[in-house]
Amino acid sequence: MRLPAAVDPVPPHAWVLEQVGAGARVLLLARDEVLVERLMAAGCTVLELEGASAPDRSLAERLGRLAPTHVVLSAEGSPPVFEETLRTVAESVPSATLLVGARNAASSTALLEVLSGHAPEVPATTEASLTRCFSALGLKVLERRAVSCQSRTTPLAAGTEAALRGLLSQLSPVTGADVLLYALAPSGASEESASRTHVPGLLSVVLWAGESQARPLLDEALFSLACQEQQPLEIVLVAPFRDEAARELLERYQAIGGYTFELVEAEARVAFAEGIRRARGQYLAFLESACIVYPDHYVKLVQALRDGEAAWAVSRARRTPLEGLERFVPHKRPLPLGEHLEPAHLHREPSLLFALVVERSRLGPFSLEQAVERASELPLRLAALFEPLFLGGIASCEQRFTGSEKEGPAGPLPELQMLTSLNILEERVERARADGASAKGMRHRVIDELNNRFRERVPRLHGALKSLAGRLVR
Amino acid sequence: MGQEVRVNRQARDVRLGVVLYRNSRRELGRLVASLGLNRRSPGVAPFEVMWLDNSPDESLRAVLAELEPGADYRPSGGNLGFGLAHNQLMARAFSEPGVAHYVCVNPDAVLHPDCIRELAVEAERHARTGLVEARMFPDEHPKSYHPVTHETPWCSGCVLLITRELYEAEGGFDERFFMYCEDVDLSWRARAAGFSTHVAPAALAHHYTVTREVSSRREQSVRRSGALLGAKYGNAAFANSCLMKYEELGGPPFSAPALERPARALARVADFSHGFDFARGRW
Repeated sequence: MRLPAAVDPVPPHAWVLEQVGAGARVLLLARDEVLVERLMAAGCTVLELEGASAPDRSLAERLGRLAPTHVVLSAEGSPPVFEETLRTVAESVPSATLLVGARNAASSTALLEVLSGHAPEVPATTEASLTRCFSALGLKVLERRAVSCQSRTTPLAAGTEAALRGLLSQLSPVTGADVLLYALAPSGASEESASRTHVPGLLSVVLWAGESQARPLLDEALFSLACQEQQPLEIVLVAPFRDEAARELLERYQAIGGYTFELVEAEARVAFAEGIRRARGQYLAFLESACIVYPDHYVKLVQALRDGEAAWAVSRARRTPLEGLERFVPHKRPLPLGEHLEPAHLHREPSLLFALVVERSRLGPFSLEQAVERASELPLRLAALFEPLFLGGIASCEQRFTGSEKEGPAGPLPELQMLTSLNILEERVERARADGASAKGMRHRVIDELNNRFRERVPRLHGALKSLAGRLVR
Repeated sequence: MGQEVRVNRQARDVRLGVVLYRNSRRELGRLVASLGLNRRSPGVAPFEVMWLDNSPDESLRAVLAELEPGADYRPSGGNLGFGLAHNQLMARAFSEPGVAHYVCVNPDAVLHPDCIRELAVEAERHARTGLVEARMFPDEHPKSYHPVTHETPWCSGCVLLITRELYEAEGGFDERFFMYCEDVDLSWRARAAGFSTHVAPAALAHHYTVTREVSSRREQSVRRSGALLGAKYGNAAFANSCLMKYEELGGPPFSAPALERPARALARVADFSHGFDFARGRW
């Protein structure tokens, strides 16, 4: 049942052969006869380091004399030794492409095997440690490939193993890779660390301004941000092109709001991910041009996070239709209804993405940049691993729209494992049971639904009847 | 008619009036910044701002001088309340023949850069406009208005344009109201006199009070004004319910306003059927 990882070559031969072409001068730092044969069969020249014949020459000198186009090395073994070897190779043959393979010590396979006592020796390299090492040495990644884990390697029950692997993968997708492969080349500049520290207390709002239908509303979104009360504030405005009109608006409202801003160009598909990369704040929120926030919206959310230990908080919002050029508002719909936030709300109302604030230092290895690639699923993906704080009470932001209501699930329910305590689960079940058993609750829900539909379809008649009812009650 | 057109052509200027009462520097800073943005709005009529301070001292004089050097600041000499203070400013404004409109501006509002321009545009869209209110932002008032004509049963005094025509016909606010409901009263008087009252959908004013801390003094003031409004328009039930609530809130004793018998035109427009909303709500 166990993956025969120990006998697999790292990096795998097939991948090395993909990276080199005929005529390449390939240096193998570890002897591998099978790979030598396959490279030669592919028309490559395989180089060998002079060893005993030239003991007086340094490794750097020997490497330089060989002038390889590619150097193949494995990150197995001691990390300091590997880093030193990589440094020497990169400095000695700066024109060469370095092909590095590493077993991932943070793979779900490795983690579960360690827990099961099945993995006597785990190399201590992870994606994070390798990335730090490459940055420090001034190496850029030309290509990265992850070799996926086998699904079954431990003596755990199949369902348990799959669930644990699923949770780990949701927390950090790289846990799904047993082996990591990199093609590297010098970038010309070394960096201390690829990871950026977040500015304590700063709220970064990543605002997507690329939806053409919502674009005329950007002015009001920025006006509301300028007048909101959470400080300090950074606005990261993402647009699909160099947006001078947006810059003018941002500069104009600075007089009122006292925020800093950054303009980022990115396509819709990667807009939020690119915005997150540029956002410097400890706290992070998302908006689009059609959204507006009330003055205390972020104040309440940030304060709730400061007062508690949750990784993210979400407020009640409103869906607001805008009719005609003058943006007449016939009604507003609060969401979610009720005093509790259920995972189903996050699926049914994906625009709750624009009602949340994340405390980034509490996410550990969870990558918002990756998770936000499917932006409508982000709240649910967060909820699967981090129990949110729901503020309830009065709605404090609005998601406005023109035309017909498009709200509803953006797609099928994603396959997710939920990390939830038994207490919370029981509370949810209890609420669902109480709702189901309560004829009164059911009646209210039906009346609410009918009332909403009536109000949306014949607002004037609805208003007249509401007034009449109000008079009768009084 | 010809004379009216000539007057309108001559009078194009706008005067803004802000009544202060112990405001924070930050609040005034934001308002002043937003007024600066309004001055740069293309097509805006020339406007000046008058500041009347109801505070017990003149400490805001220095604040304002720093924020807006040369500001037209005057202390009122005591807390005159909202209506009386604005009436003084309005009288000064309309004593200048070039002024077409007076705009009350609450000091805790922030005006959208196009707000002043759009208020004036809305006022000039219709004949015999009396009042035009800014659209509250980000959570606009839910009271109804017509999506095409923009007519609304009453206008809020938060950011409110009052036309010269209305002022000359009806005067300003009823000074018996210290604060609250004087805007509803002026709106009803305007409508009863044949003026129209409008929302300017494109004139946004940031003003949000929903989460403002509950103050029993403010609640008392609202009920006291409500009692006066009910009595003025002959609605004993509304007046009495306000007085009862006022007492419950521990308001200091005051002589209850006498029930009046309003003229038919006033009685026709007064609407107490929606409680303190004074109009049908959209949500």
